[in-house]
Amino acid sequence: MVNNRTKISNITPWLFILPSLLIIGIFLLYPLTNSIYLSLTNYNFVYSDKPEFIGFENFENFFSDSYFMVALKNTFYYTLVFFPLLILFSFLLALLLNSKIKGVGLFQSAILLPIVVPLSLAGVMFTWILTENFGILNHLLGNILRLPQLTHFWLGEKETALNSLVAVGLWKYVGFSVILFLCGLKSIPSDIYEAAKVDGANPFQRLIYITIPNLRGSFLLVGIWSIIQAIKVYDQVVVMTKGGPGNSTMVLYLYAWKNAFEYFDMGYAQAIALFTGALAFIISVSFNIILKPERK
Amino acid sequence: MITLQYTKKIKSGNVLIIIIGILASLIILSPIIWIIFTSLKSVKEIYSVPLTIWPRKIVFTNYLNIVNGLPEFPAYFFNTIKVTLSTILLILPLSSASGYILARKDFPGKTLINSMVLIFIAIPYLIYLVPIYILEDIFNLLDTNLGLILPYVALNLPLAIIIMQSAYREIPSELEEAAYIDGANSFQIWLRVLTPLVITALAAVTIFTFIAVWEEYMFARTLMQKTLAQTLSVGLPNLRVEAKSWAYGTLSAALTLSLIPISLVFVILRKYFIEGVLRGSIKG
Repeated sequence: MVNNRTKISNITPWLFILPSLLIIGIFLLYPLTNSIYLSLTNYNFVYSDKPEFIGFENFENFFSDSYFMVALKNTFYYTLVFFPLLILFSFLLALLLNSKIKGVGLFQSAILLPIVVPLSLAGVMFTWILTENFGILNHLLGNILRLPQLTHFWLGEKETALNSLVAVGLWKYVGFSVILFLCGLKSIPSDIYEAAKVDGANPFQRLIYITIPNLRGSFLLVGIWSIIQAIKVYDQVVVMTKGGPGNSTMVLYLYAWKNAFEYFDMGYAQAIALFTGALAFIISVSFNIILKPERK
Repeated sequence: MITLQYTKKIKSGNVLIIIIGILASLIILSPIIWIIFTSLKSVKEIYSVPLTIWPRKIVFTNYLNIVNGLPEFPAYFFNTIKVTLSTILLILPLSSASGYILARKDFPGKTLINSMVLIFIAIPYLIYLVPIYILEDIFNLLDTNLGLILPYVALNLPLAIIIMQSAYREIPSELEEAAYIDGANSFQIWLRVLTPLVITALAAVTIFTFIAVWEEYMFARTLMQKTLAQTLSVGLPNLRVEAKSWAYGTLSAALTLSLIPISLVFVILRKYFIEGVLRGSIKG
């Protein structure tokens, strides 16, 4: 082991890793440093010759920018509705798929299928489902369940638009977090359950006293992963509402994108992007630190 | 008597689980089923009040409309396939070479590279978008397939490296030592001795990259603004905007067609996808 580590020449490792470093350098490292620089400049992509350094002015402008505050508020709302529901649904579905009954594999295929549906295309599908007059949801609610008071112009009303986007996100991401929970469930040693059965614990007690405490890591993982997905919400917003009606579904990612590619205000856009990215980054790093002791 | 009761209880529990399973599967599949139903209806039936759920008469006009009247669709399709396959073909050798070195060799700078890779996994794509746009504008890569392939390789490479690294680390070192004694060099050992043992991890990287590239929306939308350069995830939603709401028949058919290849890949490689989740823990 030690032998072959010392044997190789100094240059060999670099030959293996250089191509990767090159592409990471050009398309990740350079853009990252450039993005930090751009966020400190005033740079209109159409009118300015080159970025003009202005310090932290872009970040200071957040506080007086009411659209930014709306985007921040909506992103928080989306996150706070999205992540507890995702944890709840995916935990219950994982319990279902963890049972050792014939045919569970079929359920697994069905429940995991949305993983491969691009979120933007899910947006198109749900736009059609939520259409006011010809959408299946209003038809089910109004004509079949006879509850016309529950029908809505889902994407056109301020009260329902953002919640509709959350629903699409849940549909898309539930499968992936089910897998995360399943991995956790499979790693609980089965003799604990056997011992509990011998002691006369009923299924509900086993769930509360064995399954849930042993899944602490999975809950943390899914929780933080889903918060990050929520902060990054973008695809279905663009496809389904473009931030409207009014600004009721304007979120941080979309607001950054609009500043960059509609107003060409690259500096300000980059400041929003860094702010949003920092939120997500801090959450993922803190999760890595919290979880590290558990990984052997 | 007691055993009898016990088995009875389990059976009724099973029935309950199966009923819940069927219900959950149906709810989750219902949007896709609805799109398939819509794609098989005539335009008149799609926009009839009251709505019909089962297609009254199955017609394939919507699918024929794509063949005859939607020249964009094949373009989106081939762009997506070209970009996805090229990205995978580049990522597999890059990530496996780097993963091998990071897992099995010591060299100055290794810790730095390792932590850099981990940090890049946690950084959201949005941060790179504007700088990469400016970069591609300078090098005339906008609206070209290569202009999507290169950023996709870079964005998906860190996670792929972590997955490959964890796979190479599990191989016992005796194999490598024996090959050294037989006179093989590092390159031969990597390619001929060790890589055949990490095929499942390569499959995991393939499925992860396939899904990530196939569904990517923000970069594809920003870097490919010309219609004929676009991918499915960007092109299909745009068709809806152009065609307004009357075109949901054709659109549903296009959606159905676009979901077939990736569903097949997923069904075949699902096992490896789950393995990849275990290895790569999570993407930021």
